Amino acid sequence: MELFSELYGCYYEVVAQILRAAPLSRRQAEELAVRWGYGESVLQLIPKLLNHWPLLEEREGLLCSKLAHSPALPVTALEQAWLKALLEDPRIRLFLTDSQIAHLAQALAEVEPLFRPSDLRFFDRYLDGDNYADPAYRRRFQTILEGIQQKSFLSIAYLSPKGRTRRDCYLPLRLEYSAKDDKFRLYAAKVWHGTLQGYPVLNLGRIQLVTPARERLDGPLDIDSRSRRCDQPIVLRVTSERNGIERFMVEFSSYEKQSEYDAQTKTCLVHLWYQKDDETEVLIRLLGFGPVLQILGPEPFAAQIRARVLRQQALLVSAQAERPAGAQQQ
Amino acid sequence: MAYSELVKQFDRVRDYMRDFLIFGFKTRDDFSSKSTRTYDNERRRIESWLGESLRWTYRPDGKTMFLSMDAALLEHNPLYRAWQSKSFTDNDIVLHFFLLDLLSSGIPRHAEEITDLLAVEYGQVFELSTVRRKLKEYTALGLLEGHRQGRRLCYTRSSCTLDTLFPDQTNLAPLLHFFGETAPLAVIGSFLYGRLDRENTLFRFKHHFIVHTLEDQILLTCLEALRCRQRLELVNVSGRNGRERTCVVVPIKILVSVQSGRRYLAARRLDQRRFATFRLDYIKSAVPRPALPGDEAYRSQAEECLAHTWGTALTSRERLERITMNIAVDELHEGYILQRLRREGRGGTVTQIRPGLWQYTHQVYDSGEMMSWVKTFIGRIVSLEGDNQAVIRRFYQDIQRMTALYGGT
Repeated sequence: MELFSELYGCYYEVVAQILRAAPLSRRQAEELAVRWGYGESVLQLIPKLLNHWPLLEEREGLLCSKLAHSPALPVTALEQAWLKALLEDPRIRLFLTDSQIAHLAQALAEVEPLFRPSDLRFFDRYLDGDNYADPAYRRRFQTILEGIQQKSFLSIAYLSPKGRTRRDCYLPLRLEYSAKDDKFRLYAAKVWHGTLQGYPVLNLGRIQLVTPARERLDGPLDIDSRSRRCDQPIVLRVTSERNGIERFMVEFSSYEKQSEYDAQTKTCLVHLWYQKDDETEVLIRLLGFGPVLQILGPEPFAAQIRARVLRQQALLVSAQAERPAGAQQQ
Repeated sequence: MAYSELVKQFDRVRDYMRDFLIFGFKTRDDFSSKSTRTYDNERRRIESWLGESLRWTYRPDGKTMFLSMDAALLEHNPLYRAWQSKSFTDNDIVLHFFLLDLLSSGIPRHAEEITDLLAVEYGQVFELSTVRRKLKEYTALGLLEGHRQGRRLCYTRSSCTLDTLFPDQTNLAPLLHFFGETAPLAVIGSFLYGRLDRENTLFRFKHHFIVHTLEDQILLTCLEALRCRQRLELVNVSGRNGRERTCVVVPIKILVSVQSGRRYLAARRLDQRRFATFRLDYIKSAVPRPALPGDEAYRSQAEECLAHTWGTALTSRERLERITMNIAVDELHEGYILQRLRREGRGGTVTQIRPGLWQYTHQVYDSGEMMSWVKTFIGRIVSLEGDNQAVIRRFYQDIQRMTALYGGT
């Protein structure tokens, strides 16, 4: 099967949008090309549509579709096989009811799944991911999902990492999924008597109870202010030893970064931006690269790395000193 | 040939996009294997698809293009736009819309009838052979259904739509948004999502390797070969010297690292009579080949091996390597370290030696693969011991080198 097909293509999509919107003016068609197309589609697609693809005809100054029906693409065999594969993913139960799942399974009964869970092994995924098979987790997830879509307040009982349960009122805003942790987190606005108390992040696995709440919120919301980018990027130098540059660049490809290669030293100078909440995670991941990478700044971050490395050296020296004579460090 | 936003082959842009996103430091001269005109066209296309995401800067050695974004803040993977850039002929697009329109009435029609009706209803004359070819192609793609009526094959538009699959569309948009970013071959979900008339932006994705989508055609071919129990002929590019090698393999499994961002095909390499892993982003092409008796035995051997593999090293060694790490943990205030050992330790054993000192032990085929993870505990490792002395020695040397780097003695 081919993924790269014009059927799913941008131009087919733009033309379908224009045919659906017809009758329309040329200007309106161009606006649709700007909205749905690529950067130069107005210049490349519209002239072709008007001069070479006889899908529209001009009547009373407007472009009218020659089709009898509004264009709609059936679900292709590839897409059916992909949907069939999802039926074996436990997370599908978070989105669909049992009857929706049964209907989909029945409709795709003759379709071979595109892949099976056993075809893939996520070998470094954390083992304490959320329990999607838990019916209570599923109910809570669906209540939160509905709360986000309906913009409704929820009363949430949350088990803190210290083992205390607290019940507060939240306006749920966004869900975040981590493939590494295999966990969902909820970004929410915490509200108390109509005033905003901040934007906490709640692990769904720690939420014990969710019920609708009657609250109000006076004032605007700005969830994006929750994303707190570091004030200064980490500056580091990575060497080509042990394929370090390539390993680093791939591992940190999901981060915002700028890099500069020095052909003489075969090293790469990188500026790496991260979210403040993730500082410890970034720090230990960088430590994992060992001596093929050196943190150059900013000083507070470099100091944390330095402290850990020097503490490590001190630990090994003291362990060496405690060893009986003759047992040398390896 | 005039410049076009669309391309015939995806491979042409795959390498450029990967280099812009992963490395971001290459200048036009670094793409020396291509002509400067090719470079300019590919850069212009990618700029056209991705808009402002593609940025540039001047370095002493020239202008460099780069894609830099925090994937955790994105609603959708912007690289999916590349999958929508396939070129086509004038006949392709005209026939596409007219054919599906004509056959959406539900009345089965044969090829001659369809060819006539295209002329009558839409004023477009097509060769019968062109129409036949398109009907065959669309039936294989699942867009049309063929019905045998006597000796004739008649066609209708497929009745399988999102409306028939999901009569109750509650949560359909969140479902397609979520799996359209996280499932294997997620780009297919994005194709379906694009057909909805509503936006859904309630998810974000952390630890999200958007670059993976550039390997999705290779992944699809590998998964199809796994499903059909076929062999694969691979053209693999060496990550070290860029040399291309062709080999025939029995595919075993796709190995995915959600931390390092690398994905592999685990396979039996027949020319070298050993198991091997191939980075998906280094596979240039994969072509299915028929299976032979005995291939299943390789799969069961590999499964046994994978049970004791830390990462991707499918070794033929018979002996497992034991590794023991003692680490200092204040169990009252640093329970999160023990939690890390248990959730990240991939089945290793965690035991308390005495208050403040904990031991992690594991047995794997290649303990060298564990060292990146071990080093994330730098600052609290009291000792590291294991059967593979070279690996242990290198760890202690690394600590000494890091101490020197950061100003210790």
